[in-house]
Amino acid sequence: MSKDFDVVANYKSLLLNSPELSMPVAAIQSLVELIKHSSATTMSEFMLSINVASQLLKSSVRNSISLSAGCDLFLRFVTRNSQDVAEFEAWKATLIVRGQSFVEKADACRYKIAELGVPFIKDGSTILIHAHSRVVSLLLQKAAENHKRFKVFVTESSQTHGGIRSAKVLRAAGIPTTIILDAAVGYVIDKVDMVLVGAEGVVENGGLINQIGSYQMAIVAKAANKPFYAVAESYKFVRLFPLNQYDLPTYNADTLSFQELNVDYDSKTDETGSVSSSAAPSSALSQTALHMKTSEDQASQGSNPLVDYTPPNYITLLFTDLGVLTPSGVSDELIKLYL
Amino acid sequence: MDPKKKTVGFVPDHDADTTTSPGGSNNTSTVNSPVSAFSNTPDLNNTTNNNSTTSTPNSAGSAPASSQPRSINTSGARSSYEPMKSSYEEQWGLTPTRTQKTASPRDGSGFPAKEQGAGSHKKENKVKTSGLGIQANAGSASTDGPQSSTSSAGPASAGGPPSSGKGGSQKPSAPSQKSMTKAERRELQEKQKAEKAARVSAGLPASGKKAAQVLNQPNSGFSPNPSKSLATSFPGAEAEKAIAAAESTGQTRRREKLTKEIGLFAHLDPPKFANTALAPKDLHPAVVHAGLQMAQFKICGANARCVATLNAFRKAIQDYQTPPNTTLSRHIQTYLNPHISYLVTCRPMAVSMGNAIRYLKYEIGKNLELPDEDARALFVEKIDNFIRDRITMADQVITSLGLQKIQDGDVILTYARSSVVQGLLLAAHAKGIKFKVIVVDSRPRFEGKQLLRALAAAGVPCTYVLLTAIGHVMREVNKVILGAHSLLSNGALYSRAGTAVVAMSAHERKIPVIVCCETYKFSERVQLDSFVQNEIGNPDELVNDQNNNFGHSSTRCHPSVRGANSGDAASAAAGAGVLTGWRESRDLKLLNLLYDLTPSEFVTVVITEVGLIPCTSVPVILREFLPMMQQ
Repeated sequence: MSKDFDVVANYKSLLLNSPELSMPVAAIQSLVELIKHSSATTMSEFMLSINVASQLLKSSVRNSISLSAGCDLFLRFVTRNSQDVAEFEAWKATLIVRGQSFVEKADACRYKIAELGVPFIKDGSTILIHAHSRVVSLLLQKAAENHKRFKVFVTESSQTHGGIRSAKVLRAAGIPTTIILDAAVGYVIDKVDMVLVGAEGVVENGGLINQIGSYQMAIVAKAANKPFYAVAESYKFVRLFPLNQYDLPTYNADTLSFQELNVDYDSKTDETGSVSSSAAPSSALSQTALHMKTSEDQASQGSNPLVDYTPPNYITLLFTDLGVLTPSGVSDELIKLYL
Repeated sequence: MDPKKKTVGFVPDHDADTTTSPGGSNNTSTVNSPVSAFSNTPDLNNTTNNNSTTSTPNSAGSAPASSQPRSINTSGARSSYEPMKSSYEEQWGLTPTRTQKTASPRDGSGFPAKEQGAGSHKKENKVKTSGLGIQANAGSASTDGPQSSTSSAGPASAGGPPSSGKGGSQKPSAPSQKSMTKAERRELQEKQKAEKAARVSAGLPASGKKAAQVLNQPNSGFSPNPSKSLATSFPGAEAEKAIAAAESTGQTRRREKLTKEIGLFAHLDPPKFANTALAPKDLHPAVVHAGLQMAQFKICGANARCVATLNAFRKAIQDYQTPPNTTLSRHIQTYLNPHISYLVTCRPMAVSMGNAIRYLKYEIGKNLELPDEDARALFVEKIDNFIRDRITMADQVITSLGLQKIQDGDVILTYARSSVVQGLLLAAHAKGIKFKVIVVDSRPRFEGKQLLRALAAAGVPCTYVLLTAIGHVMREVNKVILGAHSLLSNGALYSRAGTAVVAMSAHERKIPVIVCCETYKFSERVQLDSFVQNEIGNPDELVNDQNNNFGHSSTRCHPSVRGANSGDAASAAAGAGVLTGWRESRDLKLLNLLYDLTPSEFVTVVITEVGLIPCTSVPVILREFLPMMQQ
């Protein structure tokens, strides 16, 4: 079984070695590796090992949404083909071949999306993008190659600082790029012609799970009547149906939980009166927060969400390798895939 | 009526007494099921007599006049929905034989008035009903409204034998019929209707007169006209009489008033009532029973109705005897068609029933070559499988999927009652999830009480409010879970009237709206509003009237009204409310729509047995998934 093969380590090294690789593809690649190393002799043993491995992968990272999309897709692929198994070893071999061809195709996905998306970028337009997304960067690079003249605002995206990475890539491609504060989205939105974001996952109703800040961007875009386009490869379609922000698998009790005010509590109580620790009024909280130690700052960072969910009604269109889809089109594709 | 908000942990007191009543109270006031109706044979004689004597003098004189309004009727009020009927006919394979059969028992009665009407309009079975009403009342054609028609009948009935027996309190003796309240008369009619059902199921002639003869009833002085008893055998008859009366005098404006038809909804079928008199004779009793129960709203809800239909059909198939020179699978469809059309006459077909029947027909059509017994076994098995796979198992899957969306600390709002939602909430409670439920309910059916009862019995903290309080309670809600009658192809939700208000006010506050719906309720239909297709319920349900039970405990008058005069028989009239005489009031019309349409943007997610889908994916499921299921 997978005892002799560490699927998580393989996954991590894959990501490390090729920064262009996206998480779901890396996950599929390491699952294919697992099959190669698998010593399973029966079907059920084999399925079990794959299931265990995908669970391991999902639990190994903090934000498993796009990774689970890849794992689920591959599992679906395996189970769908497991009906017509005549010879186990031969089937395993075909799985490996198909898995590898999938990985290769996944790479081509981005180029296809870029091709589909370029016509949407008009000459002289200004585009607002969020953080760093490989597929968005590629699309913009392609547009620049096609001699489109446009400017880009990119949000800095604190925590990961993906915006700085994006800016570097885009400037290298000769696109005028300005990094803005995450808080400045509303400030620039009037100057912007369209908003482009990538995706960690596209959920079943056509909504978007993406780096934190996408949702507020979508709201601002909607309020300003600017088109909000999402760019996502079809292997990021994930069988989730979040009802709201707090219905995501990444959400837990710690997320944005209010800090226990016990640290500087004694020194603060005289200012704020009798404050009970968890139900403290927000003014007391902020006052206390100012005096928090660095270690607690770290803790509060940890409880901050990394991704948010953008409901489909904020999304104008999704650029995918299956074509340019409306949000409800995504669910159609997902139903076809999983039923 | 001010919304009653009761909190956590206890059932509102007004609910408490209805809790105990569902079985009992129904049967005491009106005779609801054919079985119980049949058990009161002495009663039956009385009412039949009563009824028929009343009508005789009128009908005798009115025969010539009646033929004319009949033709008016054909082209007038009813013709507006005739096209729809024909589409129904196509859909459910309703055949002309049905109308023939319908007419036949009455044609044979041998009364001149009868013959005339029946002979000239044999094929217009629809018209028939109202035509018969005219016969009974054309003597009073110059007077207007049901009130006067009854009073003119009064003297005649006075001569009849006074009614007696155990029903005395409910059913006043004949002379007092003049002074009966509207509701009392209605009740009487209901009773007669139920008795008719009993007669039919007992194999007696459908008409009261013939039944009376069979039962050797001493009504020598009069020759009761069966048409009258037919006409009065269902509650809508009175209105129809009045309409007909107005028509016969050519008072079209008056007619408009009396039809109580609301312009925007004139294309919809008027409310239907259980009327086995219109049913073909050779229906299987199980189907007749199911039809009556549906007509009386004793079986209510898309799932329950579908299961009842399928079970009745299974019995019909099991008991079916293949006629000579044909095979079961080739003839069974012809045999079932009148059953289907009978169910439609009881209450407009639910989408769920339509889909189930379509499936059954598909299976029958697929297996034409099977030997009889194999075919019978196959069809029975297919029906069982349909109930199991598409309803029972589907509900279980929906429940398990729905559980993922209910978390500790949730406050869930639901409207009226859906069997799936009830199952889900109970399962969530059984799983140990700590959540609170707000049951929103509304007049006239108060279906939410049933849900409330189940939840409270299980120990789920509940709040019960009426729809009017929706804005108030929505503040604390974080999920709305709704049931569905049907999901249409444009993603719109077709459900109990009031659902749209709930969904919209939840949407307003960005509260997720979860709809639980099995895929067999998906419809290929597209509807943009609640007007194009809907069902009109009995407008009398809206009347605050204690006697107006219609066989459903939940249709009782609003607790606040009841509370005001609880236990006081004399004040019952005061509790009857201002709407009691609404049919006499010229400018007053009541509309009791049963369903409404919630556009897709107000629904966040639909939980189906194939997963959680946005409601815009209904056509995809219909296209991709359902053909797969049928294999």
